[in-house]
Amino acid sequence: MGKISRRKFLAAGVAGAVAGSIGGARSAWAAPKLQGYPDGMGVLVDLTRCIGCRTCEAACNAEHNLPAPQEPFDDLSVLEKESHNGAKRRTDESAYTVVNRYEIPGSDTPVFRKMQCNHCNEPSCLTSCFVNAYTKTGEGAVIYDPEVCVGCRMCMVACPFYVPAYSYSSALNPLIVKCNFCYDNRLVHGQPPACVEACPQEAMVFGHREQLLAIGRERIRYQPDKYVDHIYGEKEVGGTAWMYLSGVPFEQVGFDTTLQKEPIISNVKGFLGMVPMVLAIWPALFTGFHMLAKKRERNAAADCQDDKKGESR
Amino acid sequence: MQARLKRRTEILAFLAFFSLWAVHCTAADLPDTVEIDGLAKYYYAVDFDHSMHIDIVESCAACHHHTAGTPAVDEKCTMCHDRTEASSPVACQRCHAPDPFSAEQVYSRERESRRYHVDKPGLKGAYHRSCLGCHISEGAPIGCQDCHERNQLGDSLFKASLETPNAKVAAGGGGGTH
Repeated sequence: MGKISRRKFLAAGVAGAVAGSIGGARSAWAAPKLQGYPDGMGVLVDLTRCIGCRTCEAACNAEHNLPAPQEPFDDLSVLEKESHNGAKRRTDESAYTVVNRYEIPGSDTPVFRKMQCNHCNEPSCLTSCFVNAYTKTGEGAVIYDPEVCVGCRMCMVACPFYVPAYSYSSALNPLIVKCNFCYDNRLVHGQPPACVEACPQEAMVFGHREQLLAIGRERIRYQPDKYVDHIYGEKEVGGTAWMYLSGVPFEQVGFDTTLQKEPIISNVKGFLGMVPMVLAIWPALFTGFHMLAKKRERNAAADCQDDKKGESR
Repeated sequence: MQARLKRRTEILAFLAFFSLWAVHCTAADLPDTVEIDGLAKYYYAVDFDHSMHIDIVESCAACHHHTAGTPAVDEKCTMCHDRTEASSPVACQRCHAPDPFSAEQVYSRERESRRYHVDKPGLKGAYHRSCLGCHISEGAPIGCQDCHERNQLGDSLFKASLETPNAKVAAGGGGGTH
């Protein structure tokens, strides 16, 4: 085993730098592929099993001591509630999860869809937050620290699933509120989220994300006529901890199927990576240009004066 | 701690009850009613009319899939189990865990990576999907409280004291849709 000589080391370094600047420029600036934490937990929601009983909503409300809802949780008419523009119910400051009912064209049976934070592998709420109020924990949860939040609502804009809500009812200290995967009170103690435990149908499976993907694929393979051949959240925006199986096309039950496969941050990571470079190089570069230009002007002015002197002689 | 103790007692009660039931079945002395109290926290126990259900289904296997003396009928089961004897446990509990998402269950499921039945529902899921699946297809009652009546704690969980529809709630505010 020959020791690497200093010369060889430097030569390799230079060669590497050259190769990097030629071939590897694209990959150097591209976003690194994060697959989430390898031991991250997740939940697989099977829409074919949901019966729209709202027990998950009730359990969530109790678990987090949320304000009482306008209607009791056994009032199933709210499942069909739509706002003036036809939008279904959404998560808000008093509900971290909601179930909506969707009528499927050409089918007698409605489909119910539970929504909550999907706990992305690379959360755009987190990357949009300039005070670092968000954390993606090793357990897979995307949690949020209200002590740090300044209430700018950037995360609400950034979230591709429109999940973070705002406590508009609070005049003095409005904060962001969202599902936290029952992180503090359950997940860290090895327990499933309250909604998962409460679901009578076991429409949700709790486990490691990798295992859930295997279960999801197995269900599709086992009953290909029952399921759409897609696990929503496996790839969407870089993958999410909460994923869905459906028996009807996902766009018919309120999912955005146009979302990119890459994490949202990938759209700006290259650009943002260039910002420090621009800040460091551009001032020196343009000062140089400026000085060169000025020097030329000065020289030209000096030449001009020399000429004038010559003429007057 | 107390909750855990209570849960353990519940589980023990379940086990004791189902083991009794198993003995009954092998003696061809089927129970007329079965008390199911897995959701005793929020609902009163269900007095399941076993004899009535025996009268209306074709075979025991409709509910107790490959148990209770009836071989497997689902063709996806018979691919492997066509010559398998009916297995001895009759109680759902013997295979379907009451706590399918506890850390122990999650890890034991994942440790045995070569096990075929990795997607086995827990007890509550098995009951509801089995019962409700039939109730939906056969037009039987499907409301939650058609089968189990809620107790006081259940009422408070579902905020049943709120009036429907659109009762104004003094506490909390918010709660509307955007």
